[in-house]
Amino acid sequence: MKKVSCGFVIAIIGGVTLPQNVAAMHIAEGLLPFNWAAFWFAVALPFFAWGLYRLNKRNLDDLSFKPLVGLMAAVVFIISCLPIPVPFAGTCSHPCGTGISGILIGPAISVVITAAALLIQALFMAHGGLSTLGADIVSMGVMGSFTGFLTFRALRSVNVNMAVAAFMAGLFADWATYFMTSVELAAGIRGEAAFLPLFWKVLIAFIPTQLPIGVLEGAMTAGMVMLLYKKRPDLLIKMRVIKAREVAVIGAVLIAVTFLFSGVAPVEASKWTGVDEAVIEKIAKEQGREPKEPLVNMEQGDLPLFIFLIAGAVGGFAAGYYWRVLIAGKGLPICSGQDEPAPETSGKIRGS
Amino acid sequence: MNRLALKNVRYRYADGTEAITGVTFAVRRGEFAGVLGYNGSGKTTLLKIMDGMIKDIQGSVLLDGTDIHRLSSREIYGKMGIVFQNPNDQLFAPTVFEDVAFGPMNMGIEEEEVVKRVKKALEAVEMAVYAKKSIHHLSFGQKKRVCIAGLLSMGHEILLLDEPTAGLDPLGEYQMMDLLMKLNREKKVTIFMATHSVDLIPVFLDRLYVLSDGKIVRSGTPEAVFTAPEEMSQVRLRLPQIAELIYRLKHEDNLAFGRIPLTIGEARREIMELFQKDK
Amino acid sequence: MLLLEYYATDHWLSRIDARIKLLVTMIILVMVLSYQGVGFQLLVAAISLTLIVSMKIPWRLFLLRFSEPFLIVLVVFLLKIFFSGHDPLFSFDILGFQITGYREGLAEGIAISSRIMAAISLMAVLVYATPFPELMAALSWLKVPRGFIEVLLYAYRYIFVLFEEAMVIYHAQKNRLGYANFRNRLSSFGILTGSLILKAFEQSQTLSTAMVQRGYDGNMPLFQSRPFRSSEIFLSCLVVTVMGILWGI
Repeated sequence: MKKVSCGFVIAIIGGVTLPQNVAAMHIAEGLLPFNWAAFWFAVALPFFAWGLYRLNKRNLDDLSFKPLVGLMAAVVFIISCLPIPVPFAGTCSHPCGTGISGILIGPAISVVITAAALLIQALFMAHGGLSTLGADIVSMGVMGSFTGFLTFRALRSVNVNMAVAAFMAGLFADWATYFMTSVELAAGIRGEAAFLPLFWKVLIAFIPTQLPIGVLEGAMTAGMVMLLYKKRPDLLIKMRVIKAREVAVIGAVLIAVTFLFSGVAPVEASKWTGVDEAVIEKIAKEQGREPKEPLVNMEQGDLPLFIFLIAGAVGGFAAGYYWRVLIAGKGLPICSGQDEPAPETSGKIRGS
Repeated sequence: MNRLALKNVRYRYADGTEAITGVTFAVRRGEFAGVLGYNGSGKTTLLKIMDGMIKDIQGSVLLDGTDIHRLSSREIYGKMGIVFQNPNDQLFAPTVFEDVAFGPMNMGIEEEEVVKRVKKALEAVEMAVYAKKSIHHLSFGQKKRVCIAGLLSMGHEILLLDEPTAGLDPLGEYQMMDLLMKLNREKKVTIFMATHSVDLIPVFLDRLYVLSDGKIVRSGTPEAVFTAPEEMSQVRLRLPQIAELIYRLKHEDNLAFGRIPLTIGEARREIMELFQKDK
Repeated sequence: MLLLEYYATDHWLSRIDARIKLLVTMIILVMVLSYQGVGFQLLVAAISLTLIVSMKIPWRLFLLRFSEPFLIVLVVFLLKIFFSGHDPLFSFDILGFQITGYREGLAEGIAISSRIMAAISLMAVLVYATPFPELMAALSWLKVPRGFIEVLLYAYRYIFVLFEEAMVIYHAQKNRLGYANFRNRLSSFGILTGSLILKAFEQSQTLSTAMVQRGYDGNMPLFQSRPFRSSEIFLSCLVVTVMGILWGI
């Protein structure tokens, strides 16, 4: 009886909190007591410092790098301001964009990007806070970026289709963030209570929003990477995304799951081509010409995307199911994102 | 005296297309000159070459007699700078003051002097009251003025402007050109601009180059360039509208105009003369 | 977007040096976070809210800012009441399930909620009284690394540019039914975000060329901070001391 009522209450809390979607990602100002806030700052600091070091170093070769990082922070900020629909929960939410910035710019500098976006959000929109900045950097910046980056690289190193790799990267980046946020939240509010039970409750309370958001984030990330791949492959080469490197060997289950829908991905890849319309329209507008309705309105095929999404959802949930097996089993850096990356791995990132 | 001279400059894009195919001309001290051309004729590329941003060219660009690629970027950018078409491409600081101060601060000038220079530059572009404003609160035309101030504050003697009037309303266009002319006449700034707004040119520019397919096809004073509509339409341009009108009156309706006026003022005089002759 | 740039221009707090405001806020924030109890938190919240009201912040902005933290407070509150403690306070039946609220949970919930309230209203005072560039200058005075400040400045400036860009694309898509149903809403959103990233890349290229021709060598120059006014130092010391005494009680 006790157990049943527990689940019921959690479901109610989850239901009540559905409209608050951002909240799941950001820990609000003042939520963490002083010692926990300080602890997460301490955890975030080495990553942040490493990111800044990398940033300054790369800026020496390429003076456009710091502006790029600033602009990416602006993009991450804007992405997290734009609402997207969550089909299962009947509400709107937004992705966090750390997966994509991890893939494009590299995980260490992506921590700096996230920190900048988070600080501006904390100050001006009260999403997150100054005292909880450390915790938010750890969950969104460190976990999101590194998980996204490592997943992408690992999958690419075994020649998984780029769109699929990007999808998984976005998915896992989101879920890793959600996982870490739950840890922080449970630790921060537990008071006298035991940590683990509360952690599971927090985790479960956010499942209704976070699972679908993860899938959406994956779809977004795949879309963005493929768009860049189509439009500006030179950029991906410049950012050293395309050249696949061996980062880690991933578990057989993960490969199986990704192969499952790698066949669908090429169809999906042809989907993200509509940008020239959008861009040309903007340029035309700047020159004072309003867009005209096309003579024959060829709407881009939405069906492939939908199929891909469904497949992604199925695959994603399957992967999620095996997630814990992977953590318990091999303890690989991609899977157990909460572990700090192994030394040889970080060496590779530095070199890449 | 030549401040900036191009000698047989050629440039290819990375994909092999020839963007500039042998261009030779010179911008003289204190001149208000410009290059006229249709969209995609290579105007922006030409400006970037003149500014030393594009380096892998054939031929040479001489700044005050020295090859620009032998000068350090400090030496080049202490003398001249380029104002891009889209002001958002070059305004990066949060407030007007900080943005205009960026250049002089980089030059290692003392802060008091920087403040003075910023003030002077903003006054020159009539933006002094906006110093504390955030960039994103400014209008498009105001942003363009701040761009110019950002270069003036560095003490630039040569300004290269890419489409300074694009995106401005008619009054804004006129004010911008008026501002540039004032800078040219009063502050002795040499100005070279790329444009395709033919109606404004004759009023302001001393010298004009017409660029088509990466080549200079015509050059000289506006009067020497704007002679016949057919010639202009070959390079996807046209005469100023008033000139077009007078040209047609002269050639199709056989009215006895002496020459083709390019501005409203000249046309007015010509027409009045014609009336008086008739009387 | 309005949220981002609103601050009270003519309030007396706006005229105080940003560094002082930042320091005092941070000290009080630490006090709030480390205080065991409710009284000090409520006091800070009350003072902050009074200040915010005196700044005449539009209600809509205020509500937008506080809506998200309120929801978080709600989650935490519910989690605490139903899962923390062992001393039943109340219980009721829903569809045959028995649900119990606990006394300790309620107390802890109230403590956490008041802490959040105090902290967010305190931060709101700081932000509503300080323009962003001043805040950044204060951060650099506090020895936050320059590289990070530079990134923040670019981010702040280009949020507005890219947001405008995003809105143009968004409306272009919407005009052609890009957001008519879930599927094309998703794909439109993907194109939108992808274009933003492309734009960020391209803009950073042109931006850096524009900066190089104005002498940029990899580090943005920052103005040195002016000396403090003694009255401001005195006032801030007074505030910190009074709050410290109240915190200690």
